[in-house]
Amino acid sequence: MNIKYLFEPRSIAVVGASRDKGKIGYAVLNNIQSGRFSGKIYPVNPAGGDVLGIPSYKNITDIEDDIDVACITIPAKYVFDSVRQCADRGVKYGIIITSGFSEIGNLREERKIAEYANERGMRILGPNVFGVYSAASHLNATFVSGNIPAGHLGMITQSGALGLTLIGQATIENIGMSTIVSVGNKSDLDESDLLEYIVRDDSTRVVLMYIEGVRDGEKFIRAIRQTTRRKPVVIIKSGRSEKGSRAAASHTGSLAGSDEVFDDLIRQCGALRAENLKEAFNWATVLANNPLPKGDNTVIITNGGGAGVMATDACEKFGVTLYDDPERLKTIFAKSVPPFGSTKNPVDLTGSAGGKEYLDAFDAAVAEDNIDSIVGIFCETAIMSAEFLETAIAGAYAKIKASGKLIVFSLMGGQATADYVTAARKRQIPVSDEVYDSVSTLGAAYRYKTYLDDRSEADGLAPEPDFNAAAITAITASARQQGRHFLLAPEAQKVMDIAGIRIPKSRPARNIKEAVAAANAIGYPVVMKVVSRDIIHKSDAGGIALDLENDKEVIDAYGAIMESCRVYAPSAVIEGVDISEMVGEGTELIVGARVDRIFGPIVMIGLGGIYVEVMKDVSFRAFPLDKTEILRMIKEIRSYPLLLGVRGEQRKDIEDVIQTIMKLGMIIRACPDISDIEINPLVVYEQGSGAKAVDVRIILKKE
Amino acid sequence: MERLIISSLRQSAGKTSLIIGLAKALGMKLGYMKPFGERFLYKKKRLWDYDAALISRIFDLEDGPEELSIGFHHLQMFYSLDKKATKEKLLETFQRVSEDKEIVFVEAGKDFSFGTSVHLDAQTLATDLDGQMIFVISGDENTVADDIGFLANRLPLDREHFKGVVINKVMNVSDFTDSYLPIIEKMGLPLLGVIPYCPELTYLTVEFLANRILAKVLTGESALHRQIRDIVVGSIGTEAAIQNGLFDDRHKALIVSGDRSDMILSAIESGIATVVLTNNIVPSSATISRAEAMGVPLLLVPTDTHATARQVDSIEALPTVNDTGKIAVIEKMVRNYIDLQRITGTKP
Repeated sequence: MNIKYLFEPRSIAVVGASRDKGKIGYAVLNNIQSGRFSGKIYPVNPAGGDVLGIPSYKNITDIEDDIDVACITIPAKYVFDSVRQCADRGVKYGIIITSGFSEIGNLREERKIAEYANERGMRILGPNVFGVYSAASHLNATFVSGNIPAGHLGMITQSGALGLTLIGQATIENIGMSTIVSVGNKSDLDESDLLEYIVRDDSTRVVLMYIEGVRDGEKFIRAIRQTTRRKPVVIIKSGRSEKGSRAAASHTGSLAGSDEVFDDLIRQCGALRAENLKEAFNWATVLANNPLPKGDNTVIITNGGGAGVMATDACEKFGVTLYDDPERLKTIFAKSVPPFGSTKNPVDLTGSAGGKEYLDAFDAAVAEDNIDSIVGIFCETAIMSAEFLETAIAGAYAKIKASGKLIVFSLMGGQATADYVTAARKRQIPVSDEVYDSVSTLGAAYRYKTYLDDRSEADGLAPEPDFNAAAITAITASARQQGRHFLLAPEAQKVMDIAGIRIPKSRPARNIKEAVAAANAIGYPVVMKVVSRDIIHKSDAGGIALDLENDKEVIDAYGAIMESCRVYAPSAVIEGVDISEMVGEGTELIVGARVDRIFGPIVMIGLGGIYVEVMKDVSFRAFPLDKTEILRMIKEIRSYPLLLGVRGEQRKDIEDVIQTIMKLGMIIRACPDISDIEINPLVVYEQGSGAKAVDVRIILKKE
Repeated sequence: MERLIISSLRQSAGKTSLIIGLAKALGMKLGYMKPFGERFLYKKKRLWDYDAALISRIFDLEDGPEELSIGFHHLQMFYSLDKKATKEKLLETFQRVSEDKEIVFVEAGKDFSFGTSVHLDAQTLATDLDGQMIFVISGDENTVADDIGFLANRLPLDREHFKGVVINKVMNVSDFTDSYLPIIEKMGLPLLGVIPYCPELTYLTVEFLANRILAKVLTGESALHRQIRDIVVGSIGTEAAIQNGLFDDRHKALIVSGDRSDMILSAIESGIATVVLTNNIVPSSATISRAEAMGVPLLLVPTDTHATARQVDSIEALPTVNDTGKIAVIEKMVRNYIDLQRITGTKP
């Protein structure tokens, strides 16, 4: 069914339309009517008669015309009957404003409603929503008070109350809205469904979303990805403090707190996550009304040295690149900067600058091809008082915007300046009273630009190498038959072998004699690891001994491992040990793949070793993935410079790391029995020398 | 030269502490070995016994801890040494550690039978080294009486190589003296002393705890010497914990899941000795910063709270080399309650 009819219905029924101004049924009908909705309106009220001057129907079944949307505002206990009538009557969409369902524990009723409707082809928005607003169809089917200014910002919110606040703030700042919809309890339609409309709605230039939780992560990621290719998406998600890092069988699992994963995955999809409402509005307004910068070079133009330094720091923080060609900058700004000022970036016009100097400097920046964006900072002085702001800011803004360059202003001063900031924001001029706010906005614009640029370079899916998934499934099935939910080291090594991931030479040993024999067969030095179905974190249990160089060291290590493991897990059944070659030194990473509860299959990379959880230097990605995206994920970890080579070391084999991650992704998607795969450490050698999976942990899904 | 084999019928009787106390109190040129190390540590491919390492460091012995034992686990011994080779290595090690010494303590395994299959049990050690066994007996009063009775009447004790018994950790000395001692004395074994229970000797340091539970130290490296006298398991609400004054004592250790930030912060603010964070959950950076600022060690372990509590409960409070206070207490106890003249005297 075309989601367009939810936002642009040809006819709408208000079930529960009321003459009582204190009722939501009144507010919704009043908003629809006063918003000049061009379609047909059918109030439904069991008492009959006119409601707000429109003849009402006692029952929805009495309406003879087709109905695209039924807006339901009646008490919860009557909602199912109403939806039943709507669905039987062929209504396309039901907007259930009524609350009192799953949000208070009444999930059963909510499911019953959605199931009945869906079985008859009717889709449900809500329950527990404030309605739908669409500028395109002049539809305000909400109980928001006051007029909503039409514009280019599309808003999806999970919280009704916060949604109303967002609309209120948007109204104060005169931010025009194209679409507003709240998803409430998401019994049927969710954000992803609604994005389908918003992405195609030409009047929406930017999407602002408030999210508390995502139900179907894979669907959500797909929808966001499709939207960001056409327009920016700014997301506020609560729950950063959620305790995601629970004890888990794998490091990947324990590191994959829902918020961390969410953060990385939406970045992967090009969405911009704002910390707070103010930041979100700043970003959304600028992105809706201004061009994206064409190149990376930014100049700061200021009359205050200190403010310029602050802006420089902010640029560093938000990833904004300052144009750094002193000679060229001198040529560009020589005429606007007094001899005691600075033409270096930040360009310091000094406190002696007036409106003319600002305009000259902005003109010079506009005329220069090497400059792509500008941070204009204004500190109120006796010479540059607030009365010149309209000339210096509004005039310059129009000219700079017309040139295709992006400028953000930061205006600091007394009351008059503050008043101007408020007024200018209502005119959608990108001003703020805080340097960091302005640069944060510029940084968001650059992040989105970078995302679009990168996508235009590589947007294909990685071809999947051919591998024998059936052989892996046979291994996991065998483990399951033995009542295990994870693979033993030799089994995990076989999986790596099948997937073409290099592992050190190894042999299992059931006793000390076999351990010595295995070590001699492999050749010293060797590594010894405990093999036990009851010990997953081997290093925590003292179950690993490294760099054993002779028989005596193997004998000592065998006993030590057995003893440590007995202390760590007294009831553990120990099958023996695994003897493997001692791999050479390299950069140790952790790479993993898992089936996330919300987002489905994801992959991870991070700094490896025993302090993985402490360092938390990890990054995540969802599928589909290509090499470019995996490389981007690798670049996000703080330890990335280690792979490039530090302190005279050679660059490491990043290509092999990418291949390894792709193979892990391939396994996790092709073998539905596996929930987690983790290699820690993956020892990465110099470029061309590859990487080796030293310790592999594979966990099966709980049945 | 005195050759004393220190043994016990049961584990954790206090053999190492007795050796420390005797060596300190006697002040003689000391030699020591623990032929069959069972409480061993394995680090950087070196294997040594905890007790041997402790005594080696306290008394600054010439031999390193790994040279004071000839074997550490049964499989190793079965695989690499037969009876003859074991005895040869035993004698060779004894020869080295006893050179120029006035007294040599040979610490036997955790109980009387331990090491029998690898020919390193207490009785074999006494015979092969021609030393005299001292048995450390501890437990409740009834156990002590039974153990001594068992020694006297049920074991084919080689009296030639037997010096006597030391009764350790007696909870109520006056009751024990009145009710049990007369019976025990009648059993006919030489009684070298009765040492009362001393709570101070049950205290742990944070460092010792961290080592024993294989914890990662997240903060408070400089405060690992702190003393732990009591353990609190954070399975109740923070408010209740505060109301009941659970964190009032600065010598407590809290065991709690790493995501209980409310309780962790309350404990940190009260200056608790340490917090053991379970489930491998690293608390927020704000909590870690606060712990760092307050100098409270945060110890991270992968096990859950229940398993960690059980593990901590089973830890034996061994002294560490930096526990000068504890070592002084041990020496004082030995001086006060052991007949030192009988220890250094000739064979009875």
